[in-house]
Amino acid sequence: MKYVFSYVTTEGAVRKINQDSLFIVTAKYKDDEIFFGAVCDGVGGLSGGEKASGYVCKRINAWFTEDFSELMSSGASILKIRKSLDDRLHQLSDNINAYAEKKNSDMATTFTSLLVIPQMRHILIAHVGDSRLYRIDDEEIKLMTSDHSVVAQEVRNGIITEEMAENDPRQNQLTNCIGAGLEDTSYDYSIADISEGSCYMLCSDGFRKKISSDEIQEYLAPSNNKDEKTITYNLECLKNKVMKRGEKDNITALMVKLC
Amino acid sequence: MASVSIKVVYQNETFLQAGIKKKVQISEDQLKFINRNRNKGFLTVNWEKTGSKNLLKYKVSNMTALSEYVKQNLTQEKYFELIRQIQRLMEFASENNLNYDHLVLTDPKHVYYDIEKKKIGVAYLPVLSRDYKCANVVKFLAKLHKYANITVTDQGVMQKYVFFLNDYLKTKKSSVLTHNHLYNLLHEVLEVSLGTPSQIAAEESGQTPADSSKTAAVGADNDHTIVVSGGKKAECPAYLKDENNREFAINHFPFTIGRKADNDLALTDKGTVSKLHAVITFENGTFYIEDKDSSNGTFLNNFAENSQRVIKEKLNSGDVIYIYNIPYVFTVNSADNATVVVGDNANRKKSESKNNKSKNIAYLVNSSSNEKVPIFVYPFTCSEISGIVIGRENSRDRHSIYIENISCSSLSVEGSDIAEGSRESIFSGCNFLYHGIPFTFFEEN
Repeated sequence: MKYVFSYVTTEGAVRKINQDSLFIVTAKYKDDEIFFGAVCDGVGGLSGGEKASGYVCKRINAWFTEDFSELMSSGASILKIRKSLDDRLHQLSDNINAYAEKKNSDMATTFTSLLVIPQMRHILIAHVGDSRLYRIDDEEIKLMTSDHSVVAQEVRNGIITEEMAENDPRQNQLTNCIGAGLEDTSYDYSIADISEGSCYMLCSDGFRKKISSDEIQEYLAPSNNKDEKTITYNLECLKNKVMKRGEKDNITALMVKLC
Repeated sequence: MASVSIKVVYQNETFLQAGIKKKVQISEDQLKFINRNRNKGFLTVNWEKTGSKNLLKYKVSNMTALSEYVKQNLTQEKYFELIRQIQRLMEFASENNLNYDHLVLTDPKHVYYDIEKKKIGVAYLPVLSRDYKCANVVKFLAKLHKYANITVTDQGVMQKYVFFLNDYLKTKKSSVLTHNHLYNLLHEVLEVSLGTPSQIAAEESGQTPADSSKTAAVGADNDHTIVVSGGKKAECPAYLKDENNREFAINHFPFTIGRKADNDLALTDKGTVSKLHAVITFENGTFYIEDKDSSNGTFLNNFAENSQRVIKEKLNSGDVIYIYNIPYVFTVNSADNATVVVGDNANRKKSESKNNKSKNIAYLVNSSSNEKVPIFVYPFTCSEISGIVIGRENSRDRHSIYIENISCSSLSVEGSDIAEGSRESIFSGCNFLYHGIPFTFFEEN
């Protein structure tokens, strides 16, 4: 399995600080390459948001190089890998909560990650918050995560419609994330078969709120993204479009094409 | 020839989207007609006009592209039943003066299949223009055959069929394959057995539209007469129950209640009820009860002369509506029996999705037969997986879904064996083997 990937991130037109974080890491194992990428959208006043998102990225990256590689070499199943990642994420959540309490501040972050394990022919998605993962093919674009936000929850429950959701003032209210003093919480995981030739795009809410999924697909379809340069170019194009349309939030997106 | 762009889009639900020129006139009659006839095999469609295009969005949530579906191992009988469904749809289109060419039969990728209802769904372009040509049935069948993975039970029949397709493709490029041609092929040339008439009747009547008990009694599609017990209630989004436990299906909106006989719920012998007393509406996914300036008032959940009258109030399942002093329990149909909702009304579709989403928390898919087993509550078990339980547990600060082997001699999850008495955490996408039968677990949302 080969990966072509790139990313775009900016504090945006209005905010002074970029609270989004991301990482991409690949590792060779038994003649094939594993891909791991994630996007975090930090939430919280002062420097809380970027601290939380940066911390989670750094620590999860460490999980990949330490725990995950050990699990792989011991022949662990995908269930064990998921459990290990889940334990680590909860541990990070506890750490963030403890730190925030000490500093008397708000700290939280969303987290959406994609782990591609060709040896198992699986991808593992871990997700919490309102950042998203899309799978993009030439024919379709599919949202692989569901937003943990008040508005999305109400749409799912049929209380409000999607059109109403777009203009709802509660856009920024999350129902689940890492940190924020949340204790009784669980994160979303799913596995799926590897879809060769597809693009996977992870993004913060700032990237996708002002553009339609059709537009995303138009720019990010696999046939339009042959190499790293074109991926970067297309992500930049979308980013500029989003900013032109008045997005105030931080904007981050990461895309990988599996080939 | 005008072009139509077809693609799959995701906007909280999955749609097959056909983009056609802005200036093309959409026939609203046809649009309504196809939405009324979803049970015949048309995909329900919404029409949106944007600045540059007409967008026709066909709802394909919970359906599988036919191209994908036929990749599963299919029996020869099932395969021909699919083709038979296409033939019947074409026949129906022809009988109702719909243009063949507007059936989107270009590619099996654009035709959908509902595994639960065992029904094909074809998109139809409800346009007045004659410029569109989306159906090339022979090419479509040839492509379908290319994708398909069929367990051949009668080699002779299969060979004849393939020969027919090739022959048609090579020699009769310009001629159109009509429903009659296809019928003759299936029945006379191949002598394909497609189930007994009663089986077919039962299958079709299961899809009978909810909107009237009359239809069910008179005969669903002029071919077969069958009355489906409990159909009326089962197929409506909600119903009212009176003190004597009589049920009144709410199958369209606004649903009127009053003393005059033409009301949906007519209380002709009740002097305290106004001619048009109240209506039940469905807006943006929510049911409402609205008083229509009645003399004596409408009340919700509590009746007293001096309690507050309803002007317009949100309804929840289980609420008691008092038409002055006569109580009716309002109940939203749960997803398990509201499987068929007729799509001539956008509101009703929303109620369907609402029901599905709030009630159905997860499901299992039998990967070999593609059957879908809905999970409504934890802990869950069913005849398909007897001896194992899928449940939800809370430990310390989180909950997780587990699969537990109670008394099953052979269970493995993602390659790891689960012994009797032990359990394993699972999550969306996890595969497990139950007595060698592959299942995949999916969480909704």
